[in-house]
Amino acid sequence: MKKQQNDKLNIISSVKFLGKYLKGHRIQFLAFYIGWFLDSIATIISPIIFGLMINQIVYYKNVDLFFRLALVYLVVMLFKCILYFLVNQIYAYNWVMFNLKIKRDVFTSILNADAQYLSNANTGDLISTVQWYSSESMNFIIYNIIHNINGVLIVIFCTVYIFIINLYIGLLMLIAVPIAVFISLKFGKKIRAYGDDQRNYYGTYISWLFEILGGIKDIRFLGAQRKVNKDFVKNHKAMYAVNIKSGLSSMTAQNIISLVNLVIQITIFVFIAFLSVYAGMTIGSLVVIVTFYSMLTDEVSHLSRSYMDAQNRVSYIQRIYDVIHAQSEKDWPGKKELYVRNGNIEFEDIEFEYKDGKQIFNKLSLKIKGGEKTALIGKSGCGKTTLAYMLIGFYYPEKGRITIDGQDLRECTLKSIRKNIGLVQQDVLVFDGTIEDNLLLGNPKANKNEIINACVKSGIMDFIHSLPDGLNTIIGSKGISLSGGQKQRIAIARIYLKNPSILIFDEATSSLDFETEKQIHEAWRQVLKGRTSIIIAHRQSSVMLCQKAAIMELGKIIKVGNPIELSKKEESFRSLFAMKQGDEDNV
Amino acid sequence: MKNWYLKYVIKKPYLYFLFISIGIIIIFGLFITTNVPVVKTYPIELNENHGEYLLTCNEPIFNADIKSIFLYSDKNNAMNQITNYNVVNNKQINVTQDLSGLISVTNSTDYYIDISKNTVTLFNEIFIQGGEN
Repeated sequence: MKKQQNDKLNIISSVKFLGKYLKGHRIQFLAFYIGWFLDSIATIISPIIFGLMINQIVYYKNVDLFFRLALVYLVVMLFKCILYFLVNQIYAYNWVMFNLKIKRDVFTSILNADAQYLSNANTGDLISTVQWYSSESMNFIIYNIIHNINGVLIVIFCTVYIFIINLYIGLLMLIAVPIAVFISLKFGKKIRAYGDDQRNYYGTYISWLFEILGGIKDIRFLGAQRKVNKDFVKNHKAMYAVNIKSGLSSMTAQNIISLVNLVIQITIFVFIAFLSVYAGMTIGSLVVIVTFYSMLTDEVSHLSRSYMDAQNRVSYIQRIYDVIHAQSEKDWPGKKELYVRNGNIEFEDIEFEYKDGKQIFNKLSLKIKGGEKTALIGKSGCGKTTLAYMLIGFYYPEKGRITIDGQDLRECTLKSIRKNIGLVQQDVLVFDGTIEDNLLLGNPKANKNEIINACVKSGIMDFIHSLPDGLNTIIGSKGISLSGGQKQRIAIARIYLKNPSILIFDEATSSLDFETEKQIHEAWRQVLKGRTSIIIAHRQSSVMLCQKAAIMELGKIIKVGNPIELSKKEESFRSLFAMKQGDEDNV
Repeated sequence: MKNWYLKYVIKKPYLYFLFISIGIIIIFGLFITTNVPVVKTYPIELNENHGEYLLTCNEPIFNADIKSIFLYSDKNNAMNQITNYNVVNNKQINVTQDLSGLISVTNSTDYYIDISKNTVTLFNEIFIQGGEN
C-alpha cells in the first residue's frame, strides 16, 4: 500500500525510515557507536587526569604519582588516537554501504515508478535524489543522531563533574543550555522551510542544466548564448536568495548562542578568579572547569547547529521517502499472462485525464483487427502517444477498458503485455556499448545467429560489415555515432529479436530525410507482415503505408477509414496534411 | 593485506572489538592500580615557641594514620611539607623544622594544613568522586 503523498517527516520519523537501511550492518554501526562513545569517555576523563597531575606536582611535589598519572594519561590518549583511526575506517565503510542501499532503492523506485509520476517529476530533482540526498541521509544518521547522542552524554557528564567541583559554577553553566535549546527550536522550523525551498530550486536548476548541456550546439546555432547566460545567473540568484536566508537564520541562531556562551564564560572566569583567591581553588580544578566548560559550550553549539542542519537534511530525506513511496508499476493489479492469438485490439469508451486535471480522452473507442496496420493521426497534443502508452501499460483509463484478443489489460501482468508489444519511437535509445549489446536490449537471450539474422532483415548488416570490429564496435558517446536512419534500423533489428505480435511506431521517422524515410518504410513493410501495428505519424507517407487511419480530435476518434478514401472525403484529414483540393490524386 | 584488514577489522570487526577489550582492560588495570592520596584540608593555629611551632586544630586529626602534612597560608603561593614533627595530642603537633620561610612570605595569619591519611584508586577518584579530591 503506497503512502499518502503528503506524509511529512520529522527527525524521529526520519530515523525510523532510515533505520531499515541499517539492517545487515548493525554490527558495524554498533562498532562505530561503541568506538565513538569510548572516544567521548576518553575526552572527558583526560582533563581530570591532567588536573590531578598538575595538583600533585605543583602542590604536593609528588613526582612518583605525577609520572604514574602521566603514564595513565599517555595510555588513554594512545588508545583514543588508535580508536579514532579505526572508528573513522568503520564510518567510511558504513557510509559507502548505507549510501549504496539507499541509492539502489531510490533508483529502483524510479525505474518502477508510475508513468504519470515520472512525467510530472523534475529530472534534476530525481538526479539529486539519487546522487546527493542519499549521502545526506548517512550524514543525518552519523552527525545528527549518533554524534548528538554522544554530545548529550558529554553535556551531562561535563555538567555533573562541574557541579561536583563547584555547585555555583555548575548552576551558572546550566543557564546556557536551555537558552541554546530554545533558540535552536525557534530557528529550526524556519530552516526546515528554507531547506524545502532550496531542494526545489536546486532540482529545477539541475533539470535546466541537464537540458541546456544536451543542447549546446542548438544554443550556439541559434545564437542564444546570452539568453542562456542570463537564465544561468537568474537560476543562481534564485537559489542564492534562499541560501542566504537559510544561512542567515542559521548564523543568527549560532551567533546568539555564542554570545550567551561568551557572557556566561566571562562570568564563570570572574567567579573562578574569586574562588581561587578567596576559597583556595586549586590549579588542577581550574584546568578541569575551563576544559569542561569549553567542551560543554562546543557541544551545546554543535547540538544546536546539528539540530538546524537536521532540518535541512530531513528535507532531503523527505524527498527520498517520497520517491521510494511513489506510485509504482508494481501496484499494477494484473496477474494473468497475456496471450496474443490474433492481435485484435479494442479501446472501449476510454476516459482519461492527467494528474493536472487535463482531460485527454472522452469516451474514446477504437477497434483494430489483428494483423491490420492502423495509422493514428491528429493534431499535436491530442493524445496519440498517450493512447499508445496505454496499450503498453504506462497509463490505464479511469473509465472504459482496453482489451487484446478479449483479454482486459488490467487483468494481465505488465511483463506479459510488454513482451507482446514492441514500441519504436523517434529517439531510439542507444547507450554506450557495442552494437551487439545495444541489439540485445530487444532480447537479452538472443544468440549470435539470431542477432545476425535480425540485422540482415533490418538492413543494417552492410553497415556493420563495413566496420572493422563488426558487432563489437563501440557506439554511443564513447564510440562511433549513428545516423538517424541507422538508429531506426537498430530499433527494427530489436523488434525482430523481440518478435512481438503488436507494434507501435510513434513518429519514428519524423526526423529523417525523405530518402532515408523511404528506405526505413521498406524495412517496415517486412517487419509489419503478420503483426498488428499502430503507426502514429504526422507525415502522410507513413500514414499511407496503413490499411486504416483513425483521426483523433477532442478526446475521441472522429473518423476511421482507408487513408486514400479519407484524403478524398475528409476535410479533417486533408487539413492535418495541408492537402489542397485535387492533391488526393497524387497520394 | 588490505583485504585482510577490510575483512577482519572493518566488515567483521572481531579484531576491532579485541583491541577495544584489551585497551579497556589495560586502562582499567592502570586505573585500579594507581592510588591517589585523599587530601583533607583543615584550618589551624600556628604558634611559634623558641624555633619550634605548635600547630593546633579544632578537630582530632593527628594520629598514626597520617601519611603527609602540608602547611600553607595561600596554596597558590607557598606550601611546606611538614616532615619533622611530633604529636602532642590528637589536636596538636609540634613542628621542629624551620618554617620561617613560609611565615615571611605570608601576610595572612590564617593557616591551613592538607593531610593525607589514605589513598583511593584513580578509578574511584574519577568515576565515583568525579575528580573531586
